[in-house]
Amino acid sequence: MTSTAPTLKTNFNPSLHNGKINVRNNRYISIIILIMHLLAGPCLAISAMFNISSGIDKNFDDAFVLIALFTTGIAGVAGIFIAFSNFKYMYNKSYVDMNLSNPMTKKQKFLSDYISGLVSYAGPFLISNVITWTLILIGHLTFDGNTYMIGADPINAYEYYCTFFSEFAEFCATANIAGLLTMIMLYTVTVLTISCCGSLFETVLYTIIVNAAIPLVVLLIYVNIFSSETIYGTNYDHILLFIETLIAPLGGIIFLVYHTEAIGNNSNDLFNLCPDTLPWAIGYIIFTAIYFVIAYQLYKRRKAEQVSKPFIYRGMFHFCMICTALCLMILVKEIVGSGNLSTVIIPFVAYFVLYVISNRGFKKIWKCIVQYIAVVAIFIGFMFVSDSTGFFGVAKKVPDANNVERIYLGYSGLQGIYTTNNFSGTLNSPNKENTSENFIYEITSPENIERIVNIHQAIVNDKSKDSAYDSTYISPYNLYEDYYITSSFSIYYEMKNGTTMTRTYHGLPVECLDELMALDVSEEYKAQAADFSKNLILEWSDETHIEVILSSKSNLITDIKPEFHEKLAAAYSNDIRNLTAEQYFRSTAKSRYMLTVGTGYLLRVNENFPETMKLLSENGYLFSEAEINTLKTDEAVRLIDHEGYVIFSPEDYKALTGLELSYYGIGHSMYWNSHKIAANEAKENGMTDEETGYDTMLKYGKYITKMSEEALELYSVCYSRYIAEEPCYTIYADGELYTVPYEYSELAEKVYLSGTSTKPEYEYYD
Amino acid sequence: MIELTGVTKKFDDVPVLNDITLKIESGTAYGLLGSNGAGKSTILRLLSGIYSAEDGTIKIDGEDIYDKPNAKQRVFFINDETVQFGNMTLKELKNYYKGFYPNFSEDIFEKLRKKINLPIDKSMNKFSKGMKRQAVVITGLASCCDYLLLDEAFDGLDPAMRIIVKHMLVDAMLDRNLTTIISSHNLKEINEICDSAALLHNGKIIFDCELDSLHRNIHKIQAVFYAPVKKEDFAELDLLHFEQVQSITYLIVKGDEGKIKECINSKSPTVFDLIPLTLEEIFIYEMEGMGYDVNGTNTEN
Repeated sequence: MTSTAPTLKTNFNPSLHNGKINVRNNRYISIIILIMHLLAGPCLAISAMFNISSGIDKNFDDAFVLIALFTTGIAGVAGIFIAFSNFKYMYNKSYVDMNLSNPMTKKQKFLSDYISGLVSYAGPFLISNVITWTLILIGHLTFDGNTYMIGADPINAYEYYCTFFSEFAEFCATANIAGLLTMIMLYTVTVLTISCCGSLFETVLYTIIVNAAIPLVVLLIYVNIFSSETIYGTNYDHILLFIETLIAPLGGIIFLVYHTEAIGNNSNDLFNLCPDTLPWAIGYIIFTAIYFVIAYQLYKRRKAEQVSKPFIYRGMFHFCMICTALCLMILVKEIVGSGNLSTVIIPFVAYFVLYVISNRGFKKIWKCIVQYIAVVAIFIGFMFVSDSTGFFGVAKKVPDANNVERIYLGYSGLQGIYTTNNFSGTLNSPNKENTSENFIYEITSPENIERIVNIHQAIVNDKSKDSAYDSTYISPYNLYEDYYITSSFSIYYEMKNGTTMTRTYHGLPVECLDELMALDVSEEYKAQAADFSKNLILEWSDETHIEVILSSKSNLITDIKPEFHEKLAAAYSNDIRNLTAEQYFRSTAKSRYMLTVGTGYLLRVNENFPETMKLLSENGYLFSEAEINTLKTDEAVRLIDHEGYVIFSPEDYKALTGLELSYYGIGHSMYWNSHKIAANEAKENGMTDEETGYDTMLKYGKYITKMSEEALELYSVCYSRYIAEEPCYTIYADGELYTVPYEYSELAEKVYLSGTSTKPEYEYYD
Repeated sequence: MIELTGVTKKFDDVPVLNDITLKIESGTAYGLLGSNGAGKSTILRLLSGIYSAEDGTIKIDGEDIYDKPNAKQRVFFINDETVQFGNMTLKELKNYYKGFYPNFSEDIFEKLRKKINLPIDKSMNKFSKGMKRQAVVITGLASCCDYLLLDEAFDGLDPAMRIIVKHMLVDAMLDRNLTTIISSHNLKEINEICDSAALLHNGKIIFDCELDSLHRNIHKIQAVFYAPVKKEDFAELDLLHFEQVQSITYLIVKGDEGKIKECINSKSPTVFDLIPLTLEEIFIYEMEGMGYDVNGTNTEN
């Protein structure tokens, strides 16, 4: 026989042969995976079809949903076992010779093992999806678009138009994409971990740590950084979520959960946080590809003789150790607080144990201590710098108004006049098609943009002060004492260069007052506020949920003809558009009406709203003078006997707030300053500021113990929101603060002099 | 032909093979001898393309072996373990290797299987150690490769089966010029099968030659001398071992027989015998010469 190298036969393919061997070896796992998937999607589709055809008013049975989640989880985790099976020669010495002596290059061997594993893992998933989609198609052709009387309202009979399968199909498509990509990434990350480890124990342990540690450490570091008091206003939850959904197999599941919630709830916040499917998928594929390339490069450089060592590449060990230590450090700190020794000791114990295990002993244990100290020092150093600089200046950053293209603003106005339903949440990425439904203002006028930037700057300057108690805050509040709103001011900048920036603040310093007032009465802002209110009324025009309220009395609007609601909507929005600054800031209304709309939206109505008042009056929805007077007498009695009536002179007010401002009747400027004073007094007396808050504030004024005619009249003419240049008296009554108009100062002085500095005993309600 | 030139192999920076140069001709049976940890299995793994050398070249018929499928499919490596076969049946084992070796012969496999009467469909988990060995040897022979590497391949085989397997190897060597490289501690078998052998110790080659010339080149001498003699008296000889038991002096000497006789005769022995050594004895005395005491200590250290 000659000794020349034979050429390979044309149909001879060792890689394919190797792959087939692997698929055959994994056949039992693949069958289990297939069964698990069949118990998920197809069963859900069959359950839905059965329910709809039987007239059962629900799409899925809870049991099938739970089963689907459970079996899909098992099928998902099976990918780890397939990777372990195909690459066992990387951590089990017995298989090294048999696998690596085969006539394949390393590249062929790696690709063959990798791809065959994916076939075993994802193949059953794809088969199951074919069945599910077939069932969806049958369901769609059979049920969608048809009219099925599934539910019936005895008063307003309606029919339920079944669109289930169309909606289920949408969810299924996203789930298929996300599910497949998640499986591929989980498998790839497992292969990467196997490439770094040389023994079974380390391979299993660090596969678990890698899958948990990567997303967890990112989340915890983010929380740790952005929970700092020096990093205010910023909200990168959407960026965090986007990163979390990209970098780890768990991210695919997080994406799917958020997407499912978003489809179900159509919540603005959730929708804005959840990444769109296509960008997410592209990013996820990129990260998977990076892990794949790293895995291959490490595999290529591995030496066969290194199998059975705990780690082939110590980098994996260090990475996992650092992540584990940081996670434990932050978690312990969240539980026991910073400065506690356990935040350093507990992570060190874990670090030490894993170090000893991976080194199979105590040799060079000093390295463990040195490495741990280095990790702690670097992390603490980083956090110190981050805290000191407001995350490297990010918190203090305010854009230049000239560079701002547009602002989406979540802010419902100082007075709560336009709507008392404050925007809540954060504007991570505004749903620009739904701004009015969520009370988001779109600001484009240069004047308002500049105002908002100035407000932003004032907030940042305020936050930069050493003590929060140096600040005075303003916030609007509702007339009704059981409904207190703190203003949140959420800004989403769209810059001219295409970048964006978002900030949310709660509690605005009084330095913002002038700009806020100008913003509130600007034409741009008023026009949108008018549209919001109009849309609210029209949206609920089918419902008998519009009430006219005055204090404890209410009248239900029973005329639900569309024409009436359209008139009401038009009248109300016109009143807002026509509101002047004078009317906005100095309401002389003697009655404080509100409309409640729908599920609790509140729209303020007073004599500054002539069209609305006229419409309501003509239709008999307002109260008579006698009813109003009786209401006030009842309230007066209640105040004196049960809840307290305190009056502050202008000098008292200045002493309490330290303000030289006009007497702005948004009383919580006084409330916050009382906290400042209370805190100082509390420090001296060893009390908490909660214990001294209100009492501290009230002792600056005079208590009225007897309801005189003057006191009653004063209460009837004071206003909760009132701007004046002149010094005015202030009343604290029914738990709220009111300003007495300047023209009633003589009357107010008379009442003030009848008061006492000693706090009376009140009869509180049972 | 297999050529190792200046090959160095390290495990964690510790040299296991140090500047090894070997040539193994095609169609021969070559034995690798050595103490435990000498590097025998390492050489076989280098030749199979499992390990890569830090230094030097390893060529099979002029072609590198590492990461080269063309060269690797001409080599079949049988290691000293059997656990990797797991639950495979003999049929599955055959199909496994059939896909990797293009010249695999089902006929040869079947013929050899029937000869040793191994069941085709029974799980190899139920085989004895010897049966597993037989299974992989016949698979290796059926692969029709050019180079068959066996690491302790006869371990676990009963005497009768050893003979059968040896005959299989010899037949293959004769039929298709198979080159066999055997690593074994059973020097008797190496002596029976191999044409040439190399002795390794501490990663170095002690000798690499044909076994015939090895036997010719090392001698055992038993002599009685009139006058007392010391080891230093034989300084001109390449002495591996010197021992005196009462009046008899035992020497193990390397070199030309004629010169050795001349030297001994110069010391006026009363009795003088030149005795051939077995390979085992050659191994022991060579190792002793390297400081590897047969009592189990490494006298070099």
